[in-house]
Amino acid sequence: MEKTLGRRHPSTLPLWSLLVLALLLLALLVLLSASGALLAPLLGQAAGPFDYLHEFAHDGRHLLGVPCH
Amino acid sequence: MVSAYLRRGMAAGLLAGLLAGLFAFFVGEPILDRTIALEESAHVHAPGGGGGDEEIFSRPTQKVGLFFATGLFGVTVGGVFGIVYAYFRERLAAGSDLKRSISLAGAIFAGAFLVPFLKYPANPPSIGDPSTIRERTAAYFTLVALSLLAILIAWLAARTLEARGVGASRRRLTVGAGLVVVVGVLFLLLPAAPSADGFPSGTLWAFRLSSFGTQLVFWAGLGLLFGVLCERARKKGVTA
Repeated sequence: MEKTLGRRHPSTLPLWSLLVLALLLLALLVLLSASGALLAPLLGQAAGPFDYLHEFAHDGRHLLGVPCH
Repeated sequence: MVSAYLRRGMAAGLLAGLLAGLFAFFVGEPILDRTIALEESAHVHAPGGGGGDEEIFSRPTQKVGLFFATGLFGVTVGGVFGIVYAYFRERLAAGSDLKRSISLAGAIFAGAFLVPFLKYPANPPSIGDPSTIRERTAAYFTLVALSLLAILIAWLAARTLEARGVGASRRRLTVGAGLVVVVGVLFLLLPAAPSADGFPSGTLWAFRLSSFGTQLVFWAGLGLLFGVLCERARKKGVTA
């Protein structure tokens, strides 16, 4: 959504804020959905540690309503 | 200044996230505990049963993790909200920062949570086949993105109709009906939600309502707190 807007009015938001926006959205996705099972095709063995985040943020994920496992 | 809005968004988001965490802790956790007990009693009947999946963190640790999750969710969503607000501030019709903040929070709540919730309501553990988590996650965030886009287009359409001199009641009816049709088509096109067959429906809906409440507390808190922070800065004479 924000990206479409950025393109329509490129002058209104400075570039750094669009980069921060992208980083925040990425962080949000990792917090809400990253898990070993989800990232294994992308990262292989390196996806394992995301299970710790998945389990620690587990109750929050369920109660915030995102698909968890 | 975008940076001031970003800062206020993160501060308001952190507070709203912790408030939502408190709501989730007192209202949601007792229900979540019940659903986990159900899940474990189902596992006992499975061959070799007993514990079910091995747990990385104990339940009390996961309850600390709840506040970690809602707090960090609040900071990141709040930051996004601040930047989006900086963009929309001049474009929103409402007369004060508080009103603008609350209407923007309401619009994003509807697009990012309410509409997706109607198609893919929150589920307790044990619902949904773990082997389809990738497809379900992709479908969920696709619906979040498309719902936000639908709300944005509805807002643009309402503005265009207003500029053409269409009256308020006709404008609301047209845009509202259009939004319902678009959301209906999205619901039909996206894959079905996982089946909750066999799960006690009372517990299931209590859980879903507690999830809805958690998000409502968060977005109401974010809209209010962010608006109050902006009003306070304005009174102090800080521009932006």
